[in-house]
Formats: sequence, C-alpha cells, structure tokens
Amino acid sequence: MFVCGYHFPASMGNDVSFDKVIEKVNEGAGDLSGVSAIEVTGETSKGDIVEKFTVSPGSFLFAALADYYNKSDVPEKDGYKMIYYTNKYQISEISKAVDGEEEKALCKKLDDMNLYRIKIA
Amino acid sequence: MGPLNLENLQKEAIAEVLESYPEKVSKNRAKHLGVDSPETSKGACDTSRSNKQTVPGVMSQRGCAYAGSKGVVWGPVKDMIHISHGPIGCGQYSRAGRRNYYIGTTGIDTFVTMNFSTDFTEKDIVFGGDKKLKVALEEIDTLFPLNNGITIQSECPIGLIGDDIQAVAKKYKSESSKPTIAVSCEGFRGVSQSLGHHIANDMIRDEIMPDDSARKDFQSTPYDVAIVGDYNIGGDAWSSRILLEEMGLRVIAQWSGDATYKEMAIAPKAKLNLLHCYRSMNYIARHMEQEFGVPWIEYNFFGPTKTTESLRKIAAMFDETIQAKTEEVIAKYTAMTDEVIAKYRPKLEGKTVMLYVGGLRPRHVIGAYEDLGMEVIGTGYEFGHGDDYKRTKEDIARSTLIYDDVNEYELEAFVKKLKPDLVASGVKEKYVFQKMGLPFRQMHSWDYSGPYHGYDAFAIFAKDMDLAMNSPVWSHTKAPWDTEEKGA
Repeated sequence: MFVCGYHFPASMGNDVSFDKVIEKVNEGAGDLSGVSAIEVTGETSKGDIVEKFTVSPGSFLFAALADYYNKSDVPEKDGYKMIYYTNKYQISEISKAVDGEEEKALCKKLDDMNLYRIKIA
Repeated sequence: MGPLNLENLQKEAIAEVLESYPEKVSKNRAKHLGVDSPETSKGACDTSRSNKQTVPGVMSQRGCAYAGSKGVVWGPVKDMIHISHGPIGCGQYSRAGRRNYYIGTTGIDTFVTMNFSTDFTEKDIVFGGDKKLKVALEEIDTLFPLNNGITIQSECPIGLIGDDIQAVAKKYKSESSKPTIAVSCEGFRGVSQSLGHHIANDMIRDEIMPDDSARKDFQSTPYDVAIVGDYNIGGDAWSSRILLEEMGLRVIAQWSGDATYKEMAIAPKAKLNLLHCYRSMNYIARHMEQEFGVPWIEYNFFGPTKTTESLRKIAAMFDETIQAKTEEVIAKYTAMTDEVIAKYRPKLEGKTVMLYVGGLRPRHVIGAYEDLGMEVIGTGYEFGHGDDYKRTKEDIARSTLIYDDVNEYELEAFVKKLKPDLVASGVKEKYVFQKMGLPFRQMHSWDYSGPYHGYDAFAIFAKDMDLAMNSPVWSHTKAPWDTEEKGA
C-alpha cells in the first residue's frame, strides 16, 4: 500500500505503523532548512477560497506537505499544488497523532471536502 | 500557457493547415475554421460556416442520413422493429453499436439490438425490392407478433432505383392495422446524418403525432414532462429521469432511448418538453409547441455545474413546491459531487482537452471537464448547424479552436500543434491518437462506459477521464512531440 506517497509492501500488512511512515517521510523530505513556511489554501469545488493558513517548520505536517510539494507530479498553478485527497487524509491522520495542538486544529480543516493547495515559502 | 499565446497558437494551427491545401479547398475550409473566446464579440462561433457538403476527397468523420434516422432517432424505439431496407451492410454495421440501453426481453417485446434487413442482392436492384419488403414485413409480424409497429429505414439503393416504399408501408398498415412507417432516409441525402434526424423527426410528426389512441384516455398531471433527445446511451436517460422524479416531476416519455411507441404518442400530453440533444430533435419539439402548445426548453446534464443550472431552469417552469424540492435535490447531490471533485480534480486540473463529436456534446460536455479543472481548448461538430455554434459560445471558457466537419488530416495537425492532454472524439479517431501516444476517450457512446448524464453519472465521467489520462500505460509510450527526432 501507499501511505503519503511511499510504498509499503504487502508483506507489512495493512496496518503500517505511523513511525514507519514518519521515518520514510523525513528521510524522503531531506533537508528542509530552506523552507520557512508552507502556505495552505482551501477552496470549494467552485474555486471560492474559504481557508488560508500557514504551517510552520518543526512538525510532521510541515515535513509531509513539503515532501508532497517537492515530489508530487500534480500540475502546479501559480506556485501552488493541489493535495491529492488520499495524501491529505493520511497526512492529517498521522499529524493529529504525533503533532501538537496547533497542527491538530489545522488538520481538522484538512478533513473536510474542500480542495487544498499548498505552496512552499 | 497564457490566453494570448494560446490564441496565437490556435490561429497558427489554422494557417498551417490551410497553407497545405490547394487554393480552392483552402478558401472553402477557411470558412469552417476559426478561434473564439468568451470575450470576443464576433468570433468563430458566430461566423463559422457549417452544414455544408464535405470537400470531396478528404477523410470526413460524418455519417449519413440513414445513420441519423436509423442509428440515432428511430433505432432506440424499443418495441418497434426497424428494418434496414437495402443491402445487408448498413443494417449490420449500425446494429447495437450505440449502446442504447433498454428494458425488455429482446426478440419478444423489444428489438433494439437485433438486425432486421431485406438483404438486397443484385436481383432486387435490377427488378425492384417492393415485393421482398412486403414479404419481410409479413415475416416480422409472424415471427415477432408482440412488436408495436415497424419502420422501414431506406438505404442508398432504394432512392437510386426508385422503389415506392411509402406505398408498400401504406398498404401493409391497412392490412395489419399496426403502425408501418416508411422513412426515406437514403444515405446519400443531404450532407451528413443531420438530414436523417430531420427526416426521422418529420416521420414522427406525420405518423405518430396524429395517432391519439394512446392520448385520449391518458390522465395528465400538472407535473408531466417528456425527455426529448436523450438516447439512453449507457443509461443516460435513466440517470436523468431519477433527478427529474426526485424534483417531483413525472416523466411520461423518453425520446427515444428506451422509448416505446405509446410513449412517443403521449408526449404531446406533457406540460413541458425537456430537450437534451437540440440538433437531432429540435424539429419535433418545435412541432409539438406549434401543434399542441407544449413549450420546450433545452437543458444540460453533463457535470454538476450545468446539471444544477438546468435543474433550476426546469424548476422555474413549475410551482414553488417543485422549486423547493429541486433545491433539496441539488443540496443532496452537490455533497456527493464535491467529493468526486475533491478526489479527481488534483489529478486532472490544468489538463487540456480537444473535443470533436456530434449532436450536443461539443458544447454540453465542456462544463463537465471544467468542473474537474480541465481546460477545453478546441471543439467542433461533425454535423452542427449555425445555431449549434452560436450556442457553443455560451459554454466556452477560454480561447477555443473551433472546427466544423474537421477532416482527419486537420484534426491530427491541430492536435500536434496544440498538444492537448486528452482527445475526446469518435471511434474513427480513437486509434489514430492512441497510436500517437495520446490519451483518448470515445465520446459518442462513452467508450463502453457511462452513463454520463446527471449527478451520479459525473462520478463515472470523472473516473473515466482519470483512467484515460493517468493510466500507467502512457509512461510506456510517447507523443510525437515528446519523441526525439531520429536520423535528423
């Protein structure tokens, strides 16, 4: 199965531990010292922006979004890339478990049906 | 690509194509090609020449009048038998290809996917086929007694040898007391399948509309509507009907997908005719308006945005109860379509599409692609008329290359120039582009998928587009412009 874009073979079963995912994401994301923040926008299916927030460094949410931005082949529009829905829910689920209250609040937003885009600042 | 760059590229594409033609052909084709955008006041949608004879010698994608009548309008009427009068090929090659779904027991009370033909041979061409036709009609009634009527669909030779099929039909009708309708839709008539639609509509007008036997005991309600111009391809009319019924309307007829003779005959009892394929059925909608006072409106059930707009437009023709229910329907399904968009838009946004289809699709499907964030940069009709192109203007979202009756050479040249991410057209074009390494969807009969009408169907549409474009198979091949020139 794929979690946050990384392949976990069937031999590992369906219940891949968050630790293993975090390890792969951090390793894959590499050095993120050049990234100061990640800008996130949420829009309705009609394109009306309803959410705007920033994710600061130092959390799994930050690393996973930055990694997604750098690796995803989703087309870029005005510097933003839309987060694919499975990745969005997976990132949110793990972040809620391992990050602080601030990230938890942001992740609750990511759980809705709006379309989210991210840009590296 | 910025809007100006896109427009310039589109204009260059036309210039390059026209340059390759002899002067006379170039002058002719120039009138059928152009660029338009929502901001342009008199663009190609207003000025394009259409419904004219195809330039001889080019590979046109058009069909014939027989295809328009038998294949499109009459063929899906399920409880009638449509006999192809002429050599066997036309009947066989038009059999079941369009996937007009229907409910019934084939061969007993429904006959859509069967091929009935008089199977003309040399002898019939030389001595005439009227007698053979009469025998075939009798044979049909013996073998399939539950049919509710027969239509005779003329192939080219009938017009050429001058067989009087109208007389045969008239005589047989008086003997059998069942509707027997001769449709003189010889393939060579007109410039495309469009005349076949018109002829088919005229025969419905002349033969079915005057029959009030089904209408006289019909109990009307204030909420009766008829779906006109939905051929139930892959179940389209069924997925449309669900929405209309949830709104509180009663669908008394579906023309002509999954239709019966009686449904066709009671349609004038509707309070409103809902016209989906304007091109193929506007004639009969206008007739019902003039003769029976039934108003008609066009609607578009491709993609959630257009479906919602259309539902509100339809509801506005009825009272507040219907309007309130319509809002409930919209709210219910929008939650679902938002999920579909959330799932597929990230993978499809920004992808460009070129369309080349017939009927209503060159304009109606634009909204569905745009709902997924895809950008339609070219569209054209096989057999559209001026009013189709004028209506297209309302649907285009950006600079769009407009091509009427585009031939294979032109379409290939346009695709090579504009490099779309997806081509959505017919089966004749499908393998040309797939062999070029380009994702393709066959949009005449939904590439063996569907339905595509209504909210539920949008999920299928989105999935199909995603499968077509993001399939791993494309990583194993390359479009010509991505392939390095060899031996240069």
